[in-house]
Amino acid sequence: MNKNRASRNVWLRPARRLQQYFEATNTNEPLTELPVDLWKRLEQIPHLQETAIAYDWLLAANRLKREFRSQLNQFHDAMTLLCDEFDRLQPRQITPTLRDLLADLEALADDFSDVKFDSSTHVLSVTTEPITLQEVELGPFEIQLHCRELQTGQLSPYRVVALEPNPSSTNDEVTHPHVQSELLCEGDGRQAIATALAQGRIHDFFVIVANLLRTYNEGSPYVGLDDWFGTLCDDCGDLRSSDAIVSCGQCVGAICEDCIDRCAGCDENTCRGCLEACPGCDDYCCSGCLSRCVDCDTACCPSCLTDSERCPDCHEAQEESNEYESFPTTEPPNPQTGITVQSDCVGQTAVPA
Amino acid sequence: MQVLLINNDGGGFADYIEVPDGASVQDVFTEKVGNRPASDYLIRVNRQPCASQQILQEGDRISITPTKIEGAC
Repeated sequence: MNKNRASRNVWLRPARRLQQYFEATNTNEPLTELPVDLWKRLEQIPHLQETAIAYDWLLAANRLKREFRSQLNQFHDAMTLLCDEFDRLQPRQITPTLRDLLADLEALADDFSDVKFDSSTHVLSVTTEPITLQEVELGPFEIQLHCRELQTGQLSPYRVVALEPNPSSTNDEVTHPHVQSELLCEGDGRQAIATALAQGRIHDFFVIVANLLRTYNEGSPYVGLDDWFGTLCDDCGDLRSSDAIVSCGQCVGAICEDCIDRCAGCDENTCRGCLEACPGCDDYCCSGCLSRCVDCDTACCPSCLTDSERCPDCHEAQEESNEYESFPTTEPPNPQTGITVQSDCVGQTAVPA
Repeated sequence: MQVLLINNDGGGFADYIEVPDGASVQDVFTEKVGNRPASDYLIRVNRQPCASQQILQEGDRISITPTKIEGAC
């Protein structure tokens, strides 16, 4: 009996605070706007019709009469919609009493190892046991109900925080297959969570969220448990187990076995992004093995770059140029006349007969 | 007599229902949930663990919460 009384004293203040939040949530729901424009038009039409009749504009008067009927219908529909909307915004079948909330808090203290209400942040939290799913240890989670967010009508006024996080190796924000950035992907629990919060059944709310955390839906996780320790290939984006991933020798990126390539020069594991084709032989080499042609600056592999540090094209051009330079551009002097014969089109001179 | 039933399976609706005098927790569970195994559910009466044969009293609050609820993204 004394224990019960002591327990009630501990939870009485948080229960009162919670009650205030839920009461405020009840009254804070905005009322739907009235169809004022439709009403204004309905008020206008009789005056316009009177004017039309006064000026003997009978066609216009008839049209206004028809419009009046049509506007009346629209106004009626809008009001019916408003009634439906108003009823829909009142989903609570049970408003939590102080007694309900107190009983919920006491039951939470029985079900969870650590139940806290932080009066400065207005966060009610419980801690789960360490959760292990398919042999992947995810650690304990703190489920935090942010009471202030209850008032603002936030869709998810709670967070799920990993206390000893063992996040997926592919995404630090995924601390549980169904939790990313502290937000729970509710799936089958969505409606039950929403209803529990709307009705102020906080014990049910925490139990449902905890049960969601204890369950793994392999059909739709943020990151599957099979891939929990996997690594994403930087090239193709596929998730692979760590032993199927190789590090690129150039950019140190994580590359899967299917995407990894080798440098034709040094034979090092390299991703395709770090390889460049040699224009001479079309072999792919890393930047460390490629050298620039002194003439055209093209990257070439060591076997294609000549001793003069030119690519095959520039080397060939150079060869041709050299041959061209060594070929005499002027004819030798004519032994008979002693006059040099100029090359064709280079200039003209009289040729002795 | 009337009891409050909170069925967190699916919609999570809370309704006052009529049950005959002397009805047990098992009776209500079978009527509302069917033949699914009770071990898949956390069943509480007035937020306390209960036996399947516990006889319900007027105004009792029964909550039935699945132990396996699948999240989905």
